[in-house]
Amino acid sequence: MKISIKKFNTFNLLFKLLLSTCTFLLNIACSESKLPKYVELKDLRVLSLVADKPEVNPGSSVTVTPIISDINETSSLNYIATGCIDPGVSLGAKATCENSSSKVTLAEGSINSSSNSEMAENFTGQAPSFSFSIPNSEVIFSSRSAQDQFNGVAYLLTYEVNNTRGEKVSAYRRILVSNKSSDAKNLNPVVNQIFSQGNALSANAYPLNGIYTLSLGIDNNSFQSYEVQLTNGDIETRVEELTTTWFITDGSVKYFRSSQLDSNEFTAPETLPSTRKSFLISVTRDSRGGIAIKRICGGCN
Amino acid sequence: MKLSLFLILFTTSSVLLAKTFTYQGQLLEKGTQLPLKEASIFLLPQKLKVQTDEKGYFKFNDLNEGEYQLIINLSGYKKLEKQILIFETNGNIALQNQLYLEKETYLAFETTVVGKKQKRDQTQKTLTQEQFLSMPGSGGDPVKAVQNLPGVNRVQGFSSQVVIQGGEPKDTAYNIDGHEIPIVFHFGGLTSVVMPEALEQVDYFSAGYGAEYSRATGGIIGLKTKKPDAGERQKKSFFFADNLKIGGLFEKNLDANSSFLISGRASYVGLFLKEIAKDNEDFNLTVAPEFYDITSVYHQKLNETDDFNFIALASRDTLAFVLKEPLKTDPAFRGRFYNETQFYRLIPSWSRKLDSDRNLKVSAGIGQNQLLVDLGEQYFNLQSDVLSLRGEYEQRFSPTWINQWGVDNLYGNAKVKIKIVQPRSEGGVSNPFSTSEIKERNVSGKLTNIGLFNRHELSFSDWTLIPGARVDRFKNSNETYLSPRFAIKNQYHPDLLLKAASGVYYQPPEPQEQDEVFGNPDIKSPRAIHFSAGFEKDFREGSLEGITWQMQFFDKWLDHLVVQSSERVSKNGVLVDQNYNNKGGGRAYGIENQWRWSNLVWDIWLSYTWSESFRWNELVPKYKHEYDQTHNLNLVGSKKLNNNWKVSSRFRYVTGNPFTPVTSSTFDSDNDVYVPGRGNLYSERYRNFYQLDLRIDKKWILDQEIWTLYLDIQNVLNTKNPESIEYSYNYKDKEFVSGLPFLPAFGIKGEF
Repeated sequence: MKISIKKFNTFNLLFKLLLSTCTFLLNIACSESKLPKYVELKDLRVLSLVADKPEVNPGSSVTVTPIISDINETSSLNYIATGCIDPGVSLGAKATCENSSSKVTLAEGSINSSSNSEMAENFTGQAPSFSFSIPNSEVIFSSRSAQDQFNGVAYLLTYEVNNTRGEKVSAYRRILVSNKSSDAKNLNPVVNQIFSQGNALSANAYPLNGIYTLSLGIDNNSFQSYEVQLTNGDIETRVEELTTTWFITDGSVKYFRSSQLDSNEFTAPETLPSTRKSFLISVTRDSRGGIAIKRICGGCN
Repeated sequence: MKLSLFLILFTTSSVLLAKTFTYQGQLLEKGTQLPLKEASIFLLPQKLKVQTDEKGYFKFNDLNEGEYQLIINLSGYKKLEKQILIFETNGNIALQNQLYLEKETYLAFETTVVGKKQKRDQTQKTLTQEQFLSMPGSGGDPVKAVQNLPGVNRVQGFSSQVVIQGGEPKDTAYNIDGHEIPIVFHFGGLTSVVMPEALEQVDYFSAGYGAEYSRATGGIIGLKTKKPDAGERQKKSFFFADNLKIGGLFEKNLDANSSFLISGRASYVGLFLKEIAKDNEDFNLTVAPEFYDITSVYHQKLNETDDFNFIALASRDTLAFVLKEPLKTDPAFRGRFYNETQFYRLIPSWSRKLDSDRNLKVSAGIGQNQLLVDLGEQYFNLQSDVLSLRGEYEQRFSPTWINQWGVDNLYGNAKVKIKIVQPRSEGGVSNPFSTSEIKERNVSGKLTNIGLFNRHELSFSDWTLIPGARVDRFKNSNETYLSPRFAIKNQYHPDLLLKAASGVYYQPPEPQEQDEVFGNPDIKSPRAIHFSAGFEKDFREGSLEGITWQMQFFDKWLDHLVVQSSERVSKNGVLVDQNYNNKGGGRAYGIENQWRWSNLVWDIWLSYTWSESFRWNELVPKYKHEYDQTHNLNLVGSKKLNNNWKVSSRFRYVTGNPFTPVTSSTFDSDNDVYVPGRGNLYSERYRNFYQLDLRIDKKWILDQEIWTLYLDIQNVLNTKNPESIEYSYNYKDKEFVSGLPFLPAFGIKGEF
């Protein structure tokens, strides 16, 4: 069959037209948003609420360390923490203890630059910790099924923090309360180091002026296997998957979250800002309440 | 008058001294090649006249050598005038030539509907193939075209689901020739799963629909396949290609009593998307979005009283991609995504005219549905075998009394493997998936829905009463309901029909709502009570030009609606997740109007609906429904131009949908997401929606084929209609996301 040049050109034109339409649609779908980016630390943020034990027995004591950031704050922050039996947050209930009969105020106070060393550094890092006790089994396991008691009943912890500029952030986390043996309970993952180009970064070795491949030195035991009881009573063994969120005050990162041991790419600023310090923070989660933090500070001594 | 001379071949008819000749031929319709019977053909100046026979053949005998003028003037066709020259060429013998008459106007590859169709259901609105194929803005899609009818709410963005009279998408049931199908669109709204040219019509049943259908509190969309019939040509075929897909249809008469058609479509836009997406930093498109569908119909007239029909329908959609990082808004979405949706149906049906007063029709829908969503760690895998049975026995007891008995059963046998988070949503604002618990289920189950209906049609002078009732048994929820239906109409004047209808409707809960892990086994069927009243006025007084006006008031009360629950309830002394309860209610009412003005050149539709739709539950006394659209106006106009050009346009104006504002957020430290805090449910609205669409069709009529080129442009004015909201990670800031931009679609069709 003979195909004339004219026909071929028509086909070419049609092809280009289709390609243009698809490109146009894809560009619309993937257009860059002007909304604030998750990774950028600017306003008051709670980055995580780290519990020393993410899964405990009834009646156990737990210490929680909030990780917050408010690089523009110069004076102080106020906070209040409350606890109660989880009203059903995973079912869509509002994460609040307001109407709960088990509501307890766990901690309350002010944070200033002398509260601890990290708060002195642009209010970015560990805030003052607080401890509390989980209700005993008669209370927290009341009317709960054997499956719930094995998989864990949640104790809700809410944390509200506000700054002098009128910003307020509410956060919550759940402490899992189960009757599993201690060695089967969830532990926080352990992140030993942040590596840049394969070299471990010390706490104040903030990279500058370049593009760096970042990775995490995660302890092998951090990828815990754990058991879940299914509705039919069967026990299923699962293995944790770790997800790391990256936060920065300057420069940019290629991915704002990375999975397992995946690396990330950090485009560092040329110099440190003169008015404040710079931070690179990784928050690694095991999706069961276990959390590990690493903070690299530029300009800290 | 054309001056070109046509050399006519001739036969020697005699060997007399004065030699005469025979001129014979066949008269066919240009493009379609349909024989034109009983057409008069004149030869001037002798004023000779013959008529074509059943197959369009004609013959002039005893013509002398010379020049003639041939004239054919047939109603509905362009006049044909030709000069012919008859002379002897070496005593040559020849056959006839073929003459082609061009129609005044050509439709598409359409089914010709003869006579006015009698509507059995007074709530029924029908779009014929001719209407939906050329409807601007719907790309020739039969179900998308339904969006232009009054009472149909506009859905947002790329979705094309039909929301009827303030209901929800899931309150609309779709069927093909009376048998339910699981999906009606490829990829939720791209295009229907049946090739439009294989359909004769699409029917839309709204508030007050009759006893033949049920299990939908909103209404019914019924697709009706065409009866294969290639007419006198014995076979015909059709081909098309547009910027999304390619396909074709072949239709053939096997003998005088049997015929078949087969059609198929496949998408190819995925190839382009894959090419473009290969350098995308956010995801890898591993399987480009692809779909295909096949529709086949076989019809056999068994004898004078029996007809057999067999429909085979299959559809498949696939899409896969890999996210290079978890989604910004929800880390639960990460890694690979694979979706495969497919189903098939085989629908044999048999109808028998038992005698002059009794008819019987039975049909079955046999098939399989499969849905696979694989998100790596999470998945949803459903496989179900489906059998639907419909039967209808009609008896005319007297000239004024018709009775129908029917069965409408649906059986299913499903295997489901699920491991997925149960999304939580309120007021149209969803919590991030990460905040919900991952649940797992591996279960087999049966579905049994049995329906029996009885309907009477009683005529008294100008009045027709249509009482009916239906008994539905939903075995899974252990419910049996009696649903009365009643309609009345009065032919007040030959041009004015008054009508009213009412009924009770039950819709079985969704399977996941009844599941003991994902739902609540105690969930019951939502109920709706419909009432509608209106009129149909024809101002044309028998002419082909003028206005028709249909007006209808509807009112729907809804109770036992299934709503999500975050409560835990005590069951056998243990707290269990309630997940859902039946404590929802609602009401929707409104007035629908449809004016239509048409003549041979123009066809203008104006649909306008005023309506309000509310919902309530145990926590919120009353709030606007998601699809509360106070004003919904569709103006559709088309004009046939010379040389087979056709221009059509659609303008839509719809009140902006309500949405629930997000007024606060709470950071979930366990999952690294922010959970939205909702303000009053659906207390704000998007900006009003308006859009202008344009369609241009051009046909080229050749002797033995017809080619059509069309351009269908959605949103000609590139209006930025806000359709959804994108929030910042902590819901403090937001951006409105616009819907469809200026979007041209073009295609070519060939009919042979």
